[in-house]
Amino acid sequence: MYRITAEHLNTYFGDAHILKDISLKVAENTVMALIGPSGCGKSTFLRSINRMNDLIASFKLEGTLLLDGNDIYSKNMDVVDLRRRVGMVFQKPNPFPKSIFENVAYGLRIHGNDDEDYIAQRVEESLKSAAIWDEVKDKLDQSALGLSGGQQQRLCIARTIANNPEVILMDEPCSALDPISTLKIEDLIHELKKDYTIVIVTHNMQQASRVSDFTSFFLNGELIESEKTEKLFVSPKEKKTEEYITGRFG
Amino acid sequence: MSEKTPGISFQNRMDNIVDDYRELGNLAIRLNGDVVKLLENYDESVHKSISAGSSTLDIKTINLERVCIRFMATEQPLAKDLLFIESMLRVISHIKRVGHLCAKIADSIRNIHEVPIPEKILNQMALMGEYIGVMLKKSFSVFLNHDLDKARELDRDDDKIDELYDSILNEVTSTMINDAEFAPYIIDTIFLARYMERIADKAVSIGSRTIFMITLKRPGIDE
Ligand SMILES: Nc1ncnc2c1ncn2[C@@H]1O[C@H](COP(=O)(O)OP(=O)(O)OP(=O)(O)O)[C@@H](O)[C@H]1O
Ligand SMILES: [Mg+2]
Repeated sequence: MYRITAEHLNTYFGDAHILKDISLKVAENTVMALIGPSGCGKSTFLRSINRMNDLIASFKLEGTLLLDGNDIYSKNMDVVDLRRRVGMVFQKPNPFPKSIFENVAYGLRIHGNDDEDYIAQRVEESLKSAAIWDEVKDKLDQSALGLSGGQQQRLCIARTIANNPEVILMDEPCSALDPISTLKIEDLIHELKKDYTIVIVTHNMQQASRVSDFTSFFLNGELIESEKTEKLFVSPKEKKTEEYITGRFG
Repeated sequence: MSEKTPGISFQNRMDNIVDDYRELGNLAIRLNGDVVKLLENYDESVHKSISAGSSTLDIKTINLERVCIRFMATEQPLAKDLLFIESMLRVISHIKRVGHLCAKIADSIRNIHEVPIPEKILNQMALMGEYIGVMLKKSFSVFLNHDLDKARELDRDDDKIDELYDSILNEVTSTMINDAEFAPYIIDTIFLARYMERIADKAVSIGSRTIFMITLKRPGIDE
């Protein structure tokens, strides 16, 4: 079953045609990596899935984008609920200047939870799922800003998980992290895919090949090739993909 | 700019690997040529030079293996670059084995060079050696040029070697039957022909690896 389905998706910022006729499916409990040169539209695609682009006045979208078969851009779609179901982790960890506990509880509270026992339980579960519980369990009331970059990123993942999403979008989640923190996030991605569907943007080919089941190569707003990751990095079908991943590009 | 190129360091290192590979190939071809010379006329200095050449080939192969491993670790090649380097490691180990076989052949020739081996057998072995030289050259260039069609030819080329091998064997057998006293001496020629035939197998293996590198399929098994 496909969590995300894009069919003939086109997006625009004003007159600029950004994504061009993208058709792409992401199966449940898999990791899809998006690769491609800067400006090719990876983030735009990611942000279309949870309607983050709606915040930009000039943004326009044509074609079909479905979550579990339901039109993400239909009038009936509850955008607040959509963003709970489709969580997002950014390049730079962005914890709130609050305690570690409140960072994770925050999402639950804005979605209307006020049962403190439930919140405490979810916070613990989420921190455990994000593989950071052991590091923070004795200082839940301390500021999240005191954590290292890698810890902050896992905290942000915990914050996303707390809302029980179906999909987690990650836009270069490790680009600001050292190799050890990066490996922790990558291990975490392997764990998380048991329960979630993940779409990750990365400029690191090795990372894409380590964490993802499928990889999609974007170029100038077009989807050039989407394949099983091991196939794409060993014997890509398209010459453009081959040129990009082997550095014979530009 | 027409030809798209990877980074300068990547390209330089790849070029160096290819240069080293060519050197190994040329050395193996030289050794096989020396073997043919030795068959025609035993000469101790040629024998020594074959043994020394085989040792040099060993050392150069190990060095190139190290270079390839470092290249993979630091440049992290992908797709056709990855397949090329991975296959390179296998191909050069075949080339190394060619050197070993040439050294063994040289030793066998020393054992029989004072025995009056029938002309016909010697001629056929020399012919085999020359034919093998052609196959080696072909296999080395086929791999470097990703030449799928010529890679497939190598398997057919090997039929000719098998034919020569069989005919040498028949010749040796009939000599042994007709001249039983001769048997203990001539038996070495069987080993000799067998080693030569195995050099041809190495050329075929390089061809198969080239096919695999391009298609990811084993010729005759997966395709
Ligand atoms: N808010 C915006 N208004 C206008 N154009 C935008 C906006 N955001 C992005 N674009 C344009 O859309 C195109 C795709 O941008 P996008 O951010 O999706 O690229 P990307 O593949 O994520 O690149 P990078 O790897 O650098 O993050 C670019 O040409 C960019 O300039
Ligand atoms: Mg981006």
